[in-house]
Amino acid sequence: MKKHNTQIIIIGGGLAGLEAAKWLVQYHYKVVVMEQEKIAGGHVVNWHSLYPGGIRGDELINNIFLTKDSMVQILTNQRVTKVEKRDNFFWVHTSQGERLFAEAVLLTTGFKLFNAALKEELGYGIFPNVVTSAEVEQILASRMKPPWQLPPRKVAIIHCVGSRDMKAGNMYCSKVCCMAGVKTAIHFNQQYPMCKVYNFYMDLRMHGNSYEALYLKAQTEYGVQFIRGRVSELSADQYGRLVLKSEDTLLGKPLKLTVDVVVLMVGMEQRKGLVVSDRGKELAAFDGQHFYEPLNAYDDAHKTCLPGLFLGGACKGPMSATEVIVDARAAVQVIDQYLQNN
Amino acid sequence: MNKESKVWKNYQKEIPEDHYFYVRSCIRQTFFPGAEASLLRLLRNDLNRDVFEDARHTCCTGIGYHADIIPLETIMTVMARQFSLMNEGGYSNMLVSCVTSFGLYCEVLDMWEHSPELEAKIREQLFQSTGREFDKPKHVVHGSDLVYRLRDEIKRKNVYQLINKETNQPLRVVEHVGCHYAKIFPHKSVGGAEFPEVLSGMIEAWGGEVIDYPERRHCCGFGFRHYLLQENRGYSIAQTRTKLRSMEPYQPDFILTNCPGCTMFLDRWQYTLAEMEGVTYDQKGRGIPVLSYEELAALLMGFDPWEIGLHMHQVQVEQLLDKIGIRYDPDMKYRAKNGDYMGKPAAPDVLIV
Repeated sequence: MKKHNTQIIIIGGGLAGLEAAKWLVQYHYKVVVMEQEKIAGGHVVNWHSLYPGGIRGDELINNIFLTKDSMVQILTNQRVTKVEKRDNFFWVHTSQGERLFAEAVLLTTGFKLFNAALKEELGYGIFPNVVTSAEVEQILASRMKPPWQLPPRKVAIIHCVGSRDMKAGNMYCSKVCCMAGVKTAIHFNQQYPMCKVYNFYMDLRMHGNSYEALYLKAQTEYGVQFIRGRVSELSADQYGRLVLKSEDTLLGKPLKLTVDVVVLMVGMEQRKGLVVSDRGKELAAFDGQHFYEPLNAYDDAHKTCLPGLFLGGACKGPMSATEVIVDARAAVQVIDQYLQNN
Repeated sequence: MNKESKVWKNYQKEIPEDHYFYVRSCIRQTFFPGAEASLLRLLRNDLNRDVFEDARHTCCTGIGYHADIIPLETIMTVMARQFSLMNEGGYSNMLVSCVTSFGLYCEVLDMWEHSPELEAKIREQLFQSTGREFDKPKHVVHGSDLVYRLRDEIKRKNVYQLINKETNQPLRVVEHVGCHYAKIFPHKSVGGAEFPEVLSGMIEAWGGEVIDYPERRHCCGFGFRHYLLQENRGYSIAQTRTKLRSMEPYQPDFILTNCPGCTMFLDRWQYTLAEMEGVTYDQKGRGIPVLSYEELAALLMGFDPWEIGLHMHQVQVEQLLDKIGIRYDPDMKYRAKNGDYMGKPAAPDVLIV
């Protein structure tokens, strides 16, 4: 079968890359997934659970691996330095000086997390009990030791850290943090039943199926208190507890709250760019200044300005895990169509 | 606070231990002259540090700058001359008494870094007007930076601690860091704009308890234009009122500041507010004493309260001295150095003195 000789390289072995690989193999292509980390699975593999159903991150990744095929080769510790298009094919260069041949390339490089230390007022890196949402996922999944010694009695979850924030240079919404914040609040209550959780938000965007129900459940069953206000300052009191200063904008009053733990719902940012060249000419579209942009957001949402180079998952912008899966599968169809026509 | 973390290390500044060229503060000289004298005596005599002054150095022009009455190039040339005097004395570290001057030195050096042509122009102007040349300082350090750096050494020499001698509990201290110290160039301060540790570090080292209060980072009320324009003084006093009302419920034993303007306004406006509204911000009607960091360091090292000019404060400090157990002679309060009685100031109507 001709397809078995057609090699596709997927750059990025996270949820999008692995999901696309799984389905490209179903279409009988030969697939190489290049992952820069020691293990594939991206951010998701470290996630305690994914909303709305609560599946563990590593379980979701393992489900993809269960269907792994000999036609998929996953190369870890491989940092891609350059994607070069010559005539109708690609050379993908690695930091080890190797180059691999491909007839199509799918970028599923995902995102990086906002560096919470840049929001100085929130004290990340200064106060041990200020942790990011990504760290909490690992703590709740018992992959990381919590910095707190005693079970926390009061926890504040701060939404939109590095998202919708002109000062942080990120004007966009990271989309998943609202729901992840609700989910984290519930998990804190489940793990520490005596715990009271406060979520500080500017808007809550409960747009998906069952999100609104989970938001209501957090309030009615777990007593999570949602406060509309941005936290302006965080300090430690004389006992080492964390003191938040904010404004409750619904009451129009300043607010001071003492808590044991603060969770920062960090946003998504574009990763460092790739050098992508077309017949020797470098393309600025992949320089990493912004999330990668497809030809359009509608019927060409996976194609790039370079034919044969495709986009999938959160390298195009913030996406939830469910959206990533759908997007990766859609990319497979578009790649297949391209290769059939060429 | 995790002081071993990489992030916290980014908030530290390099503060040399010794060898400084000192530039004075105009307003400190006027409002609390003893504070500056205390710092110099403390550094030179008690801590054996080399601090050099040149009598030819001048005002930094900071007040004129913030009042928009002095052209920027003039300010820069004045500062360039101070640098030249520093070079002439053989120094490369500048010790700045005033927070406003400190902010302005940092600002001018920053402007020169971004606009080298401006620096070249100032060099030319200074040379044409005075025949002087200059090298920029290696370190610009505020007085409170240096005292913070030496806080443990001061602690070892302390005669008193920030402990209430009757209850044996740490004194409850609220601090106010001058805006121009950390808010303009956060990386030039200890702890940056968000976690300024310069004063709280001293309080903790000397046995006190730092009390957080909601408006801790609010302006003291000086705010140059608010105060300098008489029509705007309502804004000034309103800000000080906000601060004092915010700290009142925590019943602090005193306020610690590092800026001459802040010391002045947090102290003097307590009298004004008492006259205007009939209120004081403590339970006994005496007000909350305000000390600058040099005054506090000097007191704890056993300096005489009247020698360091504490009788110049509006809110009387005896209540605080008694709490710490500092010995003083009440009869010497209003006596000049030669022992002559200077006369007692008129008492306010509300604030108990």
